[in-house]
Formats: sequence, C-alpha cells, structure tokens
Amino acid sequence: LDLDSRSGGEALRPAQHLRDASLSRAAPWAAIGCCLAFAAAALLRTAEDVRAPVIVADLAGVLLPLAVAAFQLRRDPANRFARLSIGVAMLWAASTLTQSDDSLLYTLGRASYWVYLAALVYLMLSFPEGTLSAARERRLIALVAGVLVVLALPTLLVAQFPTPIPVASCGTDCPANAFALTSHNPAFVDNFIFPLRNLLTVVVYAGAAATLVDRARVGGVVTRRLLAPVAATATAGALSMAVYLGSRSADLSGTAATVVGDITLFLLPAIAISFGVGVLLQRLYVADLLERLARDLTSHVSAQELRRAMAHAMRDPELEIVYRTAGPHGRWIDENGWPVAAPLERRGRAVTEVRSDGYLRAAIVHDADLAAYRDVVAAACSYALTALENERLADELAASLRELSMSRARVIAAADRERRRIARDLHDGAQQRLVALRAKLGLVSERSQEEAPPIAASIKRLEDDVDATIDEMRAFARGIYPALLGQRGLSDALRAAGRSAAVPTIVDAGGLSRYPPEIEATVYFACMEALQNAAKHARGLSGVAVTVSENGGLHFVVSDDGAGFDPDTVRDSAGLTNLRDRLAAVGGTLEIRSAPGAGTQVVGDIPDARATRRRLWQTPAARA
Amino acid sequence: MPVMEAPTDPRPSAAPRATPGARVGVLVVDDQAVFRDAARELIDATPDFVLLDEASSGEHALALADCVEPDLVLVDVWMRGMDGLATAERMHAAHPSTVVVLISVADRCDLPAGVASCGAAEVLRKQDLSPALLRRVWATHRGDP
Repeated sequence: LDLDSRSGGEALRPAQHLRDASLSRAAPWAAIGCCLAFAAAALLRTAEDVRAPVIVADLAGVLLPLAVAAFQLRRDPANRFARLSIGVAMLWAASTLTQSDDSLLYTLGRASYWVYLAALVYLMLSFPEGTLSAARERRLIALVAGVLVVLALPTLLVAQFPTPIPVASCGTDCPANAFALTSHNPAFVDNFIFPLRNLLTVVVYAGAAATLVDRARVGGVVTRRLLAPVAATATAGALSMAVYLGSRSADLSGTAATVVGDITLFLLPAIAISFGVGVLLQRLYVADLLERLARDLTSHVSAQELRRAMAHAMRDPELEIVYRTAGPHGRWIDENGWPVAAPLERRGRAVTEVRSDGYLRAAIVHDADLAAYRDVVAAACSYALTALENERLADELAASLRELSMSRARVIAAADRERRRIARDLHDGAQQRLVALRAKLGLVSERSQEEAPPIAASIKRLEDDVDATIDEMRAFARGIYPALLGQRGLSDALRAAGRSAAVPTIVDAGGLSRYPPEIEATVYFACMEALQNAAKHARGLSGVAVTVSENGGLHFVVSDDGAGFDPDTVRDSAGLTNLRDRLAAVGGTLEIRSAPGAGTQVVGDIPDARATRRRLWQTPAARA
Repeated sequence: MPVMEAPTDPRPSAAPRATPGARVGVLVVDDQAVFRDAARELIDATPDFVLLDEASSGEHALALADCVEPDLVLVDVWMRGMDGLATAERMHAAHPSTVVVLISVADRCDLPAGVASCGAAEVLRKQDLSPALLRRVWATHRGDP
C-alpha cells in the first residue's frame, strides 16, 4: 500500500534549490553554536556580580529554546519555528549584555531586550508553524512592531535608563545610555512614553495569551494538545509581566518588583518548555491513536466497525470514511454501500485519500486539525482497509458461493417441478386414455367371444398390446417422477421402489414426515441412483439395504454387500457427480464408503432439510 | 317386555343388501372424465349392474353416497384433493355395508402401503376391469362390511 495525501510530499526541486536548501540547513546550527558561545562569554565576563536566579535564567533562556529548536531541526531541517526560536534565543543572549559595566554593551543589551520582548510575542503566536495564520495575530504583531519602533527604539536617542530591568544586574545604578543625545529625559518621555510603553507591553502580552487560549479552545483534537501548555504559560507570563511592570512603577527596587522580575526572566525558558511539552503531547496523541487502532481493529472488521475504530482512535466522532468502487466508472459509496457525493474539504474538515496499488480506494473526512498528520491518518486507514478488503473478499466469495448454490438449487427445483408436471400430464392424459381404451377393448373382447369367435383371438392380442403399452408408459412416468412420491412422500415411494427393484432390496424408511418437494426428490433420486449403481456394478451382490432416518435433518444410507472397490482409484460416474451436485444444492453432502471386499455404502446427509425452501427462495436483497 | 325383537333396520349392515335378481348400484369416483366414460360403458354392459352416479372428487363422492346409497363404489387412487385412500376410508366409515374398490393404473406394488388398511375391499388395475371382474368382485364381497 502506498500513501498519498492532498498536501502531498515535497515536489522535486531543481539542483540549485537543493544547494540552497543544504546551505539554509546548516545556518541554524551555526546560529546555535554562536548563541552558545555568546552566552558563555557573557557569563564568564559578568559571573562575579550577577545574582543566582539571573545566571540560571541567562543559561535557561539560551539552552532550552536551542534544545527545542535542535530537536525540531533534526526531524525537519527546514523548520521555520525552530529558526525563530534560535533567533529569540540569540536576542535573549544579547539581552544579557545588560549585565556588562560597559556603557555601549549595556545599551546594546537594553535595545536587544526590547527586541527580544517583541520577538517573544511573535514566537508564541507563530507556534507551531513559525508563521502567523490569523488576522488577529497579525494585528497584534503590528502593534508590537509599532511599540518597538515608535515607543522603544527612538528613546535610545533621548532617554537615560532610570528603571532597572530584571535581566540587568545593576539595579538602579546602571551605565548610561551610550546613544543618548541629552543628559536628562524630556518630561514627555518619562510621563507619557514610558507609561504608555509599559501599558502597551502588558496589553500585547495579554492579547497574545488570549489569542493562544482561544486557539487552543476552538482547535481540534491535536491543536488542543499542542497549544494548551503554551497558552497556559503565556497567560502566566502576561500576568507576571503586568504585576512586574505595575510593581516596578510603584517602587523601582522593591522586593515585589525584584521577585516578580525574576519570574519574568524565566518566561522564555518556560515558553520553550511548553513548546516541547505541546509537541510531546501531540506525539503521544499519535502514538495513542495507533495503539487504539491496533487494539480496536480485529482481523474481522466491517466497514462500520472500521469507521468506529478510526473515530475512536482519532478522537473524532464525526469522522467519515467513503469508499471508491473499482473500475473506470468508480463511484463513491458510504459504509453501507449507498452512493454518496465525492468527499470535499470544508470548514474544519479535511480529506485524506487512501490509495492501494496506485488506485484510489477510499477517502477519510476528518478533523482538519489532523491534516498535519495525513501520513498517519492514511497509514492507519490503509492498514485498516487491508483488513476490510480481506473481509470483503471473503464475504464476496462466500456470497457468490451461496448465490451459486442457491441458483443451482433453484434450477434443480425448477427441473423437479417440470418433471412432476410431465409425469402428472402423462398420468392424466395418455395413460387414462389408454386405460379407458383397454377397458372398452375388454368389453368388445367379452362380446366377441359370444358373437364373433373368429376375431376374438385378434382382439385378445390387441388387449395384450395395450397392456404392454400401459406398463411401459407407467414405468416411464414413474422414472420421471413417481406419483407416489408427490402424493405420499418418501416412505411410501421408497418402499414401492424397493418392491419393484431389480435386486432384492430392504427399505427401512418408515414414518418419515413430509419435506419440501426438492428435498424429497433429492433423497429419492439419490437412493434410486445408488440402487441402480449397486445392481449394475456390485459383483457378488445378494441384496441392498436402503435406510432413511430423521435426525433433525435427513440422513440416508444405501448399502450393498457386493465386492466393493477402492474409492481413491475409481472416479465418480456422471450420475454420482450429478447426485453430489443435487445434494450440495440443498445444503447436503454425499459420501461413498467402500473397500474391496467390504461392500459399498452411499451415505447422504441434509442437515437443514426443513429450511431449504426458505433458504432457496430468499432473494439476496431480502437477505440483506 | 319382549326379550328379543326383530331388527327394526330393514337393511342391517351384516345382511346382504342386493338380493338375487336386484340390480347392483354402482358409484364411480375419478377425477379423469375419460375413465369415467369408460366405466359408464362397462357398467352399462354388465347385466344386473347399474350406474347410480359419477363423482369427480372424493368430497363429491361422499356427498353423493349419502343420497344414492351405492352397493359398490369404484374409487381412483390418485386424485387431486382428497385422494382415493382418504375417500375409501371415509366411505367405509359412513357406509360400512358398501363395497369400496380402489382402482388405479399402477400395479399393487406401486401403490401406497395404506391401500390395505383403508377399508377398501379390493384394489384393482383399471385396465383389468371387465364385466366378468365386476361380477366376481361383487360375488366375493357382497354384504361384507
């Protein structure tokens, strides 16, 4: 089975693109290396006068995002989100320059910190694809960019940095702004720009958290698992940011500001961890999906069970599977075989096609959220389809065998009816006329003996001819269908046949109840065939025993005490093959037991003799 | 009170019904018109026998028998609906003194085992029927319940 999905695999690219791709693959790893070196250098430089939580945050803010990024890059070298993560980690590393005593480095660190705060918002919102998908997110990022460009970066030229930031270790006694053109802040910067910037920062972080919570809430099965940890962390982060900025404006170097400030230091590591946890939960979901599917799908699976199993495994109750019929004019049918419209992608629902041997076999309409896992969906479905296909083939085979057997039985039953009709017509027509003729001839004969003795002898001969004709016709009609069988059933018909058989025959078939005509005819003609075979073939035969008994079904044995034969070396005669077919057609079996010197037994069994009529005339539609 | 009384029934079941000289009333039962015609001719040709009526089914025969009170009934074994055996059995039960004879194209050995126990006095082949056979049957079974 090969798999396919609408999103498809990667299209083939020209060689130039391949070279570009390999270059762009190496870049993130190089960036990771730079980042680590940068962080290490910053640490070494400032290690003595930096508080412990800050050192831990410095390292965690670099190492955790890089670890998550490295993990993603290993699976997907082109992963955009991983590159973004590395970028943010680099900004964080640059922010640790604020721990320097040098004015220029400190200033660059402060500027990096602003950019870092802005980039972190972008990173959170772009999880997990690395791109923004909704207008709301883009608006938020526009606001972030606006704050950065209008309210943050220009203040480098005019403002001193009177306020401490958590990542810097200098508190309120920090190096001056290396780029400041004035030694004092204009009033509107202190009174308007700074508070507005702080307010908007809180608004942006709260907006980002709300967006993530919303996405997680309305998302499908996979999205929920993926986003819930990030949304929770972003909410906590926004809250701590608000409390920190609030407490900082109340008291620049108070304990509250310091403690909450330390908490905000861990925003990036916490976000990185929640990215990792989200991805892990998503993986667990897929593993769990396959496990559930393997558990739910037994070897005998119906289309309904398959759908239920897939829906259960993928935790998507609305999941549908539609099947493509084979052939050039394939149609879509549902699990019950009803024609349906071609499956279409629609809001919240994605379509994954399942192919086998190059042919489209089925399509799964599932939660659009699983679109990223089309491979898994299609693999699971094609695995399940194999099971279903096997089951369907077995069913089809059984059904066609059943149908064949029933149609054969119907043919035989129709032939039997025709035989009964012919026998009856013979009896009612020609035979009665002959008998009437014979009786009238008897009258003429009696009269001729008194009135015309010379012709009496001729008339007597005519009487004999008519008698012989009547006997022949009677034997003929009996061979076609014995009147006794139709009128009185198996017991009487077999007893009568035994009495007129060519070899001494004992019939033990008393008290049998009546059965459908096709059953009675089958048993009767089977016994007759066996009886004739015995008379014809069994050397040294002294007699034949015919036994018919009821054991829920009908069971018959025709046994002779002839020479017997080795059944393995003697092929079935045409008559015997015909008998086997007849019995098979009414759900019965025929067995020949014989051995040299041990006579021959023809054993027949019709287990479900009473139900035959019902089974025979039940149409496939009625059965379904 | 008289200890013994003569039977009030003028035709006790055990007594011969057709006294010498009286004609034997025959009822023919067969669903085949061709044979009923032949039987009519046969009975017409047989002195002292008279065809009382014909029936084309067992049910019809039983109803007729109540009216015409036949001495001899010829019943075909194979008939649609009520067959000859059932007809003979009921005829014998309703009219014990009537002689019921089953007739058939088939040999005795091709007939149901029940022909011996259904109350029929005799089983004959249709093609063997003749005035002489009828007289013999009547002579053998007359008055036999």
